[in-house]
Amino acid sequence: MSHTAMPLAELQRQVAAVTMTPLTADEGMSEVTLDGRSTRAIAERIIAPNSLLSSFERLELYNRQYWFRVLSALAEDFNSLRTLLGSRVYDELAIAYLSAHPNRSFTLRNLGSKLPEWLAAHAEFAGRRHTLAVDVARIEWAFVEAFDNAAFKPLLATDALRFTAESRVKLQAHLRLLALNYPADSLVLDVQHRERGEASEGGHADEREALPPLKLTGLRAAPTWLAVHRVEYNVYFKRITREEYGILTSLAEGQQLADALEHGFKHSRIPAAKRAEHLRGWFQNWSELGWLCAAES
Amino acid sequence: MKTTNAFLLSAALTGLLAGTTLAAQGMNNGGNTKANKAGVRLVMDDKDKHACKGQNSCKGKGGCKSGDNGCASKNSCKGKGGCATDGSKPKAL
Amino acid sequence: MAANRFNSFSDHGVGIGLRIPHYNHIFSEKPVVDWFEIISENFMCDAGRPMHVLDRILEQYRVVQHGVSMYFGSATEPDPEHLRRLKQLVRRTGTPWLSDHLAWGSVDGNYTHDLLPLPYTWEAVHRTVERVKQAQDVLEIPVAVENVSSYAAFNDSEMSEWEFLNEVVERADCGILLDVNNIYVSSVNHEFDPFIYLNAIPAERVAQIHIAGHSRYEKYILDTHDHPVIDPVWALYARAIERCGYTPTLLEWDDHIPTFDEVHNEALKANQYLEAVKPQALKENLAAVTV
Repeated sequence: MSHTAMPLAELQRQVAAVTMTPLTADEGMSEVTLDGRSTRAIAERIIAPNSLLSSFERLELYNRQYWFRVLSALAEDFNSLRTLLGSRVYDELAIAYLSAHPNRSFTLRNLGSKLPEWLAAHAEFAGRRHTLAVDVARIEWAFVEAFDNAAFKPLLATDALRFTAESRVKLQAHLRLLALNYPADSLVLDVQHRERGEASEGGHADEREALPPLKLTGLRAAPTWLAVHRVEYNVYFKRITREEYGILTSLAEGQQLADALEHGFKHSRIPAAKRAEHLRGWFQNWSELGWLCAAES
Repeated sequence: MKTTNAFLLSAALTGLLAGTTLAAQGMNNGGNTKANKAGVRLVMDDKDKHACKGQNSCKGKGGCKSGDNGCASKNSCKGKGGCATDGSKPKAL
Repeated sequence: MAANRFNSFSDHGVGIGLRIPHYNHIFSEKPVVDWFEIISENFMCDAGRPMHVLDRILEQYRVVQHGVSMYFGSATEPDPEHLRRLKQLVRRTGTPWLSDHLAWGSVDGNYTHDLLPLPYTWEAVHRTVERVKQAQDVLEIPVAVENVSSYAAFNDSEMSEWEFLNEVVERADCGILLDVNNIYVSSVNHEFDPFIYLNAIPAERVAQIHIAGHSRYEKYILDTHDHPVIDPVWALYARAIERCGYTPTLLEWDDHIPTFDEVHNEALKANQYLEAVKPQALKENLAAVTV
């Protein structure tokens, strides 16, 4: 019988399409790919059976491996989101996200890079907790970036002496600035604190165990501005004011110093007489923490 | 430059100079003051998932509902798909 | 003799994989370990704790890089950023050789993060050779390809896995990271004699050997790296050492990771095979250090 080999690229596209098709409810391989092709037909065309496993069953092993691996990796980075929503809602969200955004990076570190943005546009996956869930997802992704992003050389006193109204700065690469609708950093810290307690009493919670949605007590919506950054290889959450957020984001966008200050105090409730004092303190803190770097570096 | 900004600009530059000077001093005395101003630290040690950003591996992902330990490397080369292919839970021998 | 051009004529003995749960032990106890293998991709970030840990390890230990997502067998074009970052890391670690898998895992820029087996075809040989050569040219250090555990075979295959491996390494003129556990796993999953595979390997190209544990299910074995090495795998290792001589050997333990000492002691079992073939010069060096 003549047999024409499938070109390698086509074979890999077909195997990848099946492998990345979401599993059935009982963690088996679906009969159809996301674009409606028969997984059984693809498996039988491509995969040789052996005495114990059919073509379908052999390909199913890779299908399971893919989903177990990526779901586990994503849950590791978005643990508080999972805790907030509960495992049932989170799992549906995670599968939908990973189906929409398979990783385009060689490292699993970047698997969740688009999750906050994706979740913001898909309220149906988080229901009444959607706004809070987006905040939590943004904090958790900011953590990943603060953890291992580059560290630029901060401004030195000699640089500061040359600064004028027209100067520009670059913000530290591991600094992430978030404007949130909830004080969701408290929730993330609470989850971490609770998990550490559980870990010390007998190991980590299994990310594949069923988890009910978190009971929320006392968490009310309130505009919150947060800096997530790194000092000495540790990640910190630092609450900042709306004005600080405005100035820092303007600087990050490349605005001149004077323009950034003006933008930061737009609609500010801080009395004009108090602004200079605040500014002195903020700039002192930011530069001491290494958040401000030379624009050309 | 807008004159209304001159006072504010001066304050910002004063703060900037003070901060960069303190940062330089901090580097000479161990940097504890910097950590004090950094906010709330997320505790990271080897018991903490957040310390486990080594995610790539080549291990297999075996066993339904078996889960990983807390610091399994995400990027690894282990296999990960060990469910029984008849739909039942896998039986490790 | 296995100090060869594919491992930069290194005298590495028995090492273990550098894993996060062991960091505290390593830094506090400073155990004597011949070398550590790192997963390259876990240290291809810009800065922060991973790079700090790596630098501390490099101050005291020899490190060899092992990659998991180069995907030499992927038909579509690789990410140039991956190779650029890998080269940066090679410069940082000073790894004498580098390994990754004889597998594919990405297509059209989408990553499966798995080590998918290749169809053993001539087209796949040519594509894989091209990619291995490209990596060697860019990285400027010897590259070794590792045989993977696999759970599926392809209708289109035109040769056996070991024939495919031999064609690739000869044409790319690269080394082999011989994983004897993977040979065992695949031999059960594909119903072949693992010694036929092992005896067909060009011993002079073996740069390094991997040993590991796995999980056995009713109808297949998975390469889970979560158990001690089983006796049949040690038997394959013994034969590999008999053929290859004194070869850098590494134990992989990636899941349900026990204490550092448990992992290290499991790895050191390899010495009972290595000692018999240890070059005299290495024995004398060790004696001089001990005195």
